Amino acid sequence: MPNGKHIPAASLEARAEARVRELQALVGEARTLLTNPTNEALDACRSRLEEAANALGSLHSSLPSGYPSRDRALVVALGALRSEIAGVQILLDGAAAFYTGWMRLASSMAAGYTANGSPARTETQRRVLVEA
Amino acid sequence: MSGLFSALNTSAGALDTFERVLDVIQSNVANSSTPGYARQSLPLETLPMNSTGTLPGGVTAGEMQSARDQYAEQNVRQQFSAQGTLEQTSQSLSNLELNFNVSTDSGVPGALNQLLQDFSAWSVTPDDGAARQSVLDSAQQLAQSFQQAAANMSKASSDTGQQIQQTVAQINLLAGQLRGENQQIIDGHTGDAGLDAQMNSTLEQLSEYADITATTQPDGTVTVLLAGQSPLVIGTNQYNLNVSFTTPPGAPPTVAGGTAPARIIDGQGKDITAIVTQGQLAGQLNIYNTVLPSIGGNAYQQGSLNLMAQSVADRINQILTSGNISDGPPPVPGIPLFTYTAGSPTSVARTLAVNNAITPGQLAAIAPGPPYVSNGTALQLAGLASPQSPADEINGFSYAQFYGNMAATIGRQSQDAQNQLSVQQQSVAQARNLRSQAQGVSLNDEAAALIQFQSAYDASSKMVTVLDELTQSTIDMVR
Repeated sequence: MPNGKHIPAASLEARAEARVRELQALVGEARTLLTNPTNEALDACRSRLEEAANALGSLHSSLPSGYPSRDRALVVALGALRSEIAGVQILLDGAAAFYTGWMRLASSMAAGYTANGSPARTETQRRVLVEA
Repeated sequence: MSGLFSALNTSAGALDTFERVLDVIQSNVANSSTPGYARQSLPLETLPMNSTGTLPGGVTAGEMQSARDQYAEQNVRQQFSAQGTLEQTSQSLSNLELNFNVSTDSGVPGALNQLLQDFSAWSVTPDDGAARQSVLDSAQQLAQSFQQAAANMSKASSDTGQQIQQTVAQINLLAGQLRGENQQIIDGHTGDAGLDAQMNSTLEQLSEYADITATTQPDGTVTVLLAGQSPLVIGTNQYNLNVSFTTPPGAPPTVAGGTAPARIIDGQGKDITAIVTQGQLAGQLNIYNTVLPSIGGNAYQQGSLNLMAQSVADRINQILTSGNISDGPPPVPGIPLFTYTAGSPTSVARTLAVNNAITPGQLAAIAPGPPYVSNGTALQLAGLASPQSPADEINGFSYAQFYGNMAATIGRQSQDAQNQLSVQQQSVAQARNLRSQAQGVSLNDEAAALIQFQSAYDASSKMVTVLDELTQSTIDMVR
């Protein structure tokens, strides 16, 4: 880095770790939003995840090659971030599973079951018969 | 859950269609007496799937709404059950973790470390009386540490056994309340909002203890099944659960002297332990039948604590008895340092003691060889700290490492349970909010919202995948 400012490795590590902790908080916000998974909440969740992904992408590309390996603090912070992401995935899937289950139930109420036990498809094409 | 919504469009379409059918039915009812009204019909068409086909028949708007409410309630109860499992597991493991101090200053690892150090000191001055006495004292301390650890495990097992009995009693009590509430419905209290709320509250409490499914019958009573299979309440009949601390008939004990597992027996006398997988009861069963026996043993396994106690005692005794106390003539062979109750593999840690007959002067330091080494056995014992031979290890680990692994496993399980509990608490909140969202929304509106949800879900899910991969990539880079 002949023309740039030299940043000591320890300082770089501390900054990276702090940044990852910020991202963890951001993903934590997304996780909290999913406790009430309205469409609006889901949109807000997606924007936070997107922001976190962009920031992490920037952090990833800013780490110099030959970055001090075995940066324990950063690995721990990244591990915590992954746990937070896993929590988001669980809540996201939980909401999806709720709606899917309800859809299956509603579908079976409307059209019964097929021979293999899954809800039958309902024909959505509509006809109106008028009896005089 | 990438393929989760593969059929959503079709299903939402079905919901939309169903709503229109209901509209038509309601319109027909409303206009049934209007002169000249032309009755409309909007048939549902199902895809052919077998020779007889299936048609809904008899579903009304009220049934649909009721089904949705019940579905949302059941979802809350399922999340409660999962939370109950994790709360119990987290609490039990947290208590257990306190018994596994990996500090080298205390407990089994501390005493073991001290004994190995004293072996080392003795090997330097094999004839020194004080060094020999230190070995005996440390051996005594190690035996007591194993006894204490075994007593702690035994207490944890006993406490958990009591918890299981209390939980089963609580399940039976709540099932009794539901039976009484069913009786009130049969007695004519159908549609009583207070009773309805009371029943939902009872069901929610019950779901914390076990995975239950509740279905409302045409007469308004609630049928409650455990794990969707075993009846707890049907109408005004209650089927009590029982606990049995015996080995099942088809699985006789394989380890002598080990305690029997806890089994849950349903009202028909059937062993339903295997299907109790959620709720506090499931958490307690897992601790009692799986986690604690893996350490302290039971009728089917020795347990790692006993395995370690036996391995340490046997190996030290083997080394000492292969040596000589004095050259003689005739040479005086070494005697064992430790004793324990033979024939009961699950009692080794509890009964481990220093041989009453041994004195400091009877510690065999001499390896008769060849080659003859005057402090050979003492050196060999000191070498147990850094084993060079499989005979000095347990499953490839030194004694200290083996204990560390045992403690780490408990710690990891405890941490996992706490992390999962944190997410699960949010899942319960989510289920409650989803239940609220489902109320008062028309099926048509819900179908439209679901299409939007699918799109929002897909976008968020992709972001989660990207973020997770990026995080892993960064971890790989800095690890």
